[in-house]
Amino acid sequence: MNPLLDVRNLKTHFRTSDGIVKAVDGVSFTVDPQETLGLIGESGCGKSVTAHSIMRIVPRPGQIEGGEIHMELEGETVDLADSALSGSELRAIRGRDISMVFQEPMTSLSPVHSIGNQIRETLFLHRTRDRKEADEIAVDMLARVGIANPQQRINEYPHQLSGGMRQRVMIAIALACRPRLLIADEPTTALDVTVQAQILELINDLQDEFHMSVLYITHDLGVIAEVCDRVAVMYLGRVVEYGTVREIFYNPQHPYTVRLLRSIPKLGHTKKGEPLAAIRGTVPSPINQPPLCGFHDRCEEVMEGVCDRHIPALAEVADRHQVRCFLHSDSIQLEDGSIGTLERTPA
Amino acid sequence: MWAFLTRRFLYMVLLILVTSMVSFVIIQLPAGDYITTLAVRYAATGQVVEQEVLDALRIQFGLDQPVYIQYFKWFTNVLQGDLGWSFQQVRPVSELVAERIGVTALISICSLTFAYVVGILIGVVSAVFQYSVLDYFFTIVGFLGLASPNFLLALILMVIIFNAGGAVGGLYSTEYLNAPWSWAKFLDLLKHIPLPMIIVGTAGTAGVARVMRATLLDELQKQYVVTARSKGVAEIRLLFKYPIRVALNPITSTIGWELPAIVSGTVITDMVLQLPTVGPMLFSALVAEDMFIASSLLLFLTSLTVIGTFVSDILLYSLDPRIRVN
Repeated sequence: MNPLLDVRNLKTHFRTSDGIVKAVDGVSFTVDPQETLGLIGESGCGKSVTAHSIMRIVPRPGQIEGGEIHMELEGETVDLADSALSGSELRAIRGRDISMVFQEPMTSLSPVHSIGNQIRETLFLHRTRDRKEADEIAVDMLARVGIANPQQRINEYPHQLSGGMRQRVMIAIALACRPRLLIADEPTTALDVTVQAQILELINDLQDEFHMSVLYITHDLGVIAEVCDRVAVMYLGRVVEYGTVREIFYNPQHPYTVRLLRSIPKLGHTKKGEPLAAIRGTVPSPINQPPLCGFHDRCEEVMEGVCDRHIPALAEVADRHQVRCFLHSDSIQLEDGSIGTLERTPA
Repeated sequence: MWAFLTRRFLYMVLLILVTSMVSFVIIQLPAGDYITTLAVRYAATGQVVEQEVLDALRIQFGLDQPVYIQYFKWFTNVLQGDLGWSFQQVRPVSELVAERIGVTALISICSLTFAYVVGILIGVVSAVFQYSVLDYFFTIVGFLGLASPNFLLALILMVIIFNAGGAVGGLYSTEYLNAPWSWAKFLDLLKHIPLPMIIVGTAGTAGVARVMRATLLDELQKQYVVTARSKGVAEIRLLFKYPIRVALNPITSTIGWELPAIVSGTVITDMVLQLPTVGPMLFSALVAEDMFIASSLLLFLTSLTVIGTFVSDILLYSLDPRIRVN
């Protein structure tokens, strides 16, 4: 089975006056049909930029510098990273085949247009030109995302709804054209915990109903465990560990993943007064990064002369489980994306 | 909707009433009255007017009575359409105002339209192409326009146009000055309008452009713009439907305030340009304590301010759904 989305060595860089920010620097992953892939990482690791790159809505001065984004569309494959793709071709895919739900439900809807207007807009662009039919679909979508009185709500404005309701409306808009892939960029981060669970459940149910794939972007490990099939852990613009949820949670290999999992305070397992197991240091600035493992200066198992000299390549450690770390493999990722071999000098 | 409008309308009437009282009192605050001004003027030419004559004049004009009675008399007359007499020109105020109001409104509307159309266009271009050569150019010109006094701009433009052989000052050429209205006079007026329109409108244009640029830059960053983009909306359509639409709200909510500002705020410019508008007339009336004409004009300006705000409220109400809910 071909994957629905196949991202290969994606590089999205921002050329700023301070230098080149390699926000996404050689990211590869695949999303299978009807699968949920979790993209997890700290703020600034490049997970949102990856999502924006797939949608091709990276804000200036960001630009896709290399790589491929293959999307399976009605039997043909389109490379979304291809600069030859015209604006109208891209716009036809956006909102129809791939759509996105954002982090901030309070601001992601226009304050001066009715909810109906905002759902109809995407329907008019991709599904129907008929106002009556669009209205029917809009009402149906609102009902499906669990909004009571959809007939009445359709004429209301975002400020009349709560945050959770707005996120439901966003999901209704995103799913109105039955996309094959939904990118959910931290859709529950800004919501109350109880509402978070409802939204997660809603996306899950609709995924089954619409047979779509979901790319779930989050920094919340709990969310990943709950909804994802596979996980890609991102750090400083690269995927450092990639595998099934089971493998990542029960058999983490990368020191970053290990510490990330350990940093979750566990009820009953932590003694009062004991410090939380935070990862030491902070994420370094991605400006003008030399070729090295991004985690080397925070890693407790760092190997001098190795981790700070080369970029490790993703290497298989178990079935469907890859890790980018010299503790587990000797392969180096070279500038052009090809793989080399590390020559270790005996200590 | 109707409850909102009725409430606003009642406030409006109340506000006009109170301001008319306050301005009537303020006009009378300086020591002396028009009779004093008259006596001083005669004294300057060496004539002595006897005290009895002055007192008789005061009684005739009703100036001997307390302020509140004067106000009450004047205001009841105003309600009946009688604005009182101008002491200076010995003509009914309504006649004097009627002569000038048409021209004043014409210039105001022209310069207002100029200010908003050009200002919004510049603001949009500056925001969409932020930090481009065009943006810097408009920013510099805009600040110059805001910072330089209008009458200075008027003088400079007059010199330039005069040297180029164009018509300068006034609204009509000399041959049409006292001529009855005709097609030729109208065309002549159209030839004279652009200069005051641009000069009076410049400061407004610069202000509108700055506000539009700042608000639009703010809106362009908003998440809902990214949402629309992710739906596949084309860039130009998106720009007009979302951020420009939202950014117009603060501009619209202040459009009413510009109306009286353009009438009253151009006294000096209108004097320089020799425009027969209300501004210079109000100025001379205030100097001479010609109180009925001054009070009537202030009432007129107040009403414009309040009506302008009322219109802005209605516009904002229809533009922004967030205002509609109490």
